[in-house]
Amino acid sequence: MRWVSLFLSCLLLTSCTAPAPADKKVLRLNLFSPPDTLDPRMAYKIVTRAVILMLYDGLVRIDPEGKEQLALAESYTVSPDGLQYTFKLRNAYWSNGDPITAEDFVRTYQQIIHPTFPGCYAYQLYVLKNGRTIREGKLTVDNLGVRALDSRTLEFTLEHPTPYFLNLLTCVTYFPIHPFASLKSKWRRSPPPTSGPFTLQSWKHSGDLVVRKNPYYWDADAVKLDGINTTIIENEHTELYLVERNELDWAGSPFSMLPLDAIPTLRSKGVHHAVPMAAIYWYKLNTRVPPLTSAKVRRALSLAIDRDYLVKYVTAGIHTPPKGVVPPLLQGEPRHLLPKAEPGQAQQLFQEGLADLGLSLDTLEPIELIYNTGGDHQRIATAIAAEWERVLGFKVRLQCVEFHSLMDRLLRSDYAIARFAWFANFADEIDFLNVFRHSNDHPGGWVNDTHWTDPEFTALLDTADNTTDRTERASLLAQAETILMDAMPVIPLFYINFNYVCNPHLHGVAFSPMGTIDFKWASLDDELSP
Amino acid sequence: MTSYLLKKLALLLASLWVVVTATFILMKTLPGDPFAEEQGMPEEVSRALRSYYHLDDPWPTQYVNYMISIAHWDLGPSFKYKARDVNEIISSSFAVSASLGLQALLVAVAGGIFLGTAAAIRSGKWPDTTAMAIAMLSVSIPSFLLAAFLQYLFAIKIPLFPVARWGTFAHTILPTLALAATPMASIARLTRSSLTEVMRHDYIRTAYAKGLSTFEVVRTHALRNACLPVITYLGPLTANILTGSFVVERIFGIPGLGQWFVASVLNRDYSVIMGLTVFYSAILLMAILVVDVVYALIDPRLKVALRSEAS
Repeated sequence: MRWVSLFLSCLLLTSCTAPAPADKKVLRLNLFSPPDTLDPRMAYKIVTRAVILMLYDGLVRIDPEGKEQLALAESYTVSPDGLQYTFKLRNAYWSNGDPITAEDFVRTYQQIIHPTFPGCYAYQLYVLKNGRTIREGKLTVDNLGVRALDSRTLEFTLEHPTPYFLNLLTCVTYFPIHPFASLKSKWRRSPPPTSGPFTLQSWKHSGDLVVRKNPYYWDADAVKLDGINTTIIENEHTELYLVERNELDWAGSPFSMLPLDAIPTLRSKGVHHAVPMAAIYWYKLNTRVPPLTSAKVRRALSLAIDRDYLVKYVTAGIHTPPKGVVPPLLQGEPRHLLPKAEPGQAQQLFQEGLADLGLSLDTLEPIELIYNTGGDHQRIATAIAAEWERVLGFKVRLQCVEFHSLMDRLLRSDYAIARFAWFANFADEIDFLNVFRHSNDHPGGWVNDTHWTDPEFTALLDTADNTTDRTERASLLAQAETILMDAMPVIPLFYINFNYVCNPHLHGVAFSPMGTIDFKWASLDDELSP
Repeated sequence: MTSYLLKKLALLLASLWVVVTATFILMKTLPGDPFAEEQGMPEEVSRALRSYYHLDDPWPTQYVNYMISIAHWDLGPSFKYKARDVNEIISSSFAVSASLGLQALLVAVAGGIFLGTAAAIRSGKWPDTTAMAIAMLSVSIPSFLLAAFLQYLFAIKIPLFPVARWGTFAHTILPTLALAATPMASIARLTRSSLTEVMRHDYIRTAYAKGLSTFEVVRTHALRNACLPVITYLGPLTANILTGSFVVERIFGIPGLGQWFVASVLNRDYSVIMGLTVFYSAILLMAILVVDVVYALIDPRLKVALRSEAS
């Protein structure tokens, strides 16, 4: 008996764990899922881009105020026609002491644009002159619209005026890599030299990735953290609990999603934060499938949805009801193109649409609404289906599929209504409208899937591309969106917000509307953040 | 014995080939593309990706190339996690799953045999009822429920153990208990029924008549025969438990192999799917082979049969 109690006391002593005292200046993050690469040229996932922002620097970065701030670039000039950008690079160095030169940028972009390079985001370089043509194999890489005038001067030549070019440069695809880096680099064992505010200290097999402040970073004075320790816990409840126990400093977007049922409690404690993102949750409609062939039917489906109710009750108010397809934070010309739910009008429009097609509600077969597993997709789909049946008598068959199967069905146009989302690639409203610029049959229509396009809509976007006057451009894009909302090939449901909970002493986190998060300027201070 | 082993090994390799081929065919028929992302990409970009990973080669070419690389134990790069090779994923994650699995196996075998023996010796009395009630509960409660319950009770409500992750012995305790519960119950039931049957034999009665205590009778004579069904059960159990449980690893945030089985299919990460299938099949088949050999070593009747077959 004595031995048993001795054994039990030893067990208790060794296993009791109090939360480890936090090193005040080391941030503790849960990445939720592991980054797939540390190569900026191949980065796609949000978590990957967040880690790359720790390790690398580019010409421009988004600061905690949400503005583009020059980073590796010291200054720049733009030609009057908006087609040429010339950047003067500052004196900055790779983590092994080599200088960062204009040639590093040119080499990186030429590698990415090469027709055989396996990078998902290669098309972000299509704004550069000949980008697409080179990628299609019709020209060699030295024809790309970027050159090093000298080792500290970089000149870009664009396909057309691109008012969002500076914002595009904040994407990690535009970050240079060191000459030693290659596709065969062993990033875990011997990572190539990096250029960012932190350097990689270790990347364990368990997925735990540790970075430490880079003392040779050109802006090291602005970096207040000593380092960042990351872990991988794929459970949002555990993650939230660890933040409450002060064992982690962040829970929620962009790495994971806060559990919906925890939101009211977090709100009442005043710890829930929401930041608008340039992202939208929508239902894509296959305009080749009756009755979705009728624009009246599509608009009726949209008019029947009470989005305020959906956002407030089905998604616990963490998102924002939409005004159209383009989020307000990117709208050049403010507009509200989605009227409030009008059941009577919706019913009438629906009947008219059906009549135009020679169909009636009694003979209408239920059509399929597909959504993928995870998240709140099922809740939302169930609510929408119920509302359509209640208001319009329109039945849909709900079908849950896993993500890759959903993508496959969209690719083959084997769907009627599909849940989807769009996250901005860069902070400009045209990115949301570009989705519909071309139909799927066109090389530029790879993400349309609705088979809707309109020559007038496309012409407006083409004209906007070549307009340097901002007001005129904003007006053209507003007109284009009006055409889009009249046709309604997608039904916007809500704008997606960043929702997170963090250590109240954390300051200076920079969010970009594209969903990336940057801890360069972050600090853990004694004062509480507002 | 040697020819017996060689025959078994040849069968193992043939079974492995069948499993790998079947998985390859099934995998290729799954809808979806490993590189499909919500933002999409132009055709020329996705073509470059497929070409880089040789996914545009004809299926027979992909199959032959893959079989050649497996023969060299080169399982290729992960399509999804471009910084990692499948070999490295398996070796690092298996180390974690195997250490947790071995611990759970020890607890399950020790606990199961103890409970089963207590139940068999005191058959019909309170040790039997209690042991079988525990076993029934353990086998009925799903592992994810038990894992979540243990985590809530002993890590959150009463903070005795860490909530999640891996690193110290304390991190292994709750996952071990969650993993060991169901096999322990099965082993207990198997031991009980087998031992009850063995205890009825004449030689056991003789041993008692000679004056041996119950402990000595069970340890020296009865258990050895009664454990044969348990050994049969241990073969596949070892393979399953060593390669990790997706559910338990997910709940406790353990960087083991279990999560990769599910994640690789959901991600259409072909090389990881194939690598894991080869690995798991090899472990399972080897475990069954070991069980066969142990049987032959433990059971004198089999030894005699093998010797006479050889001669």
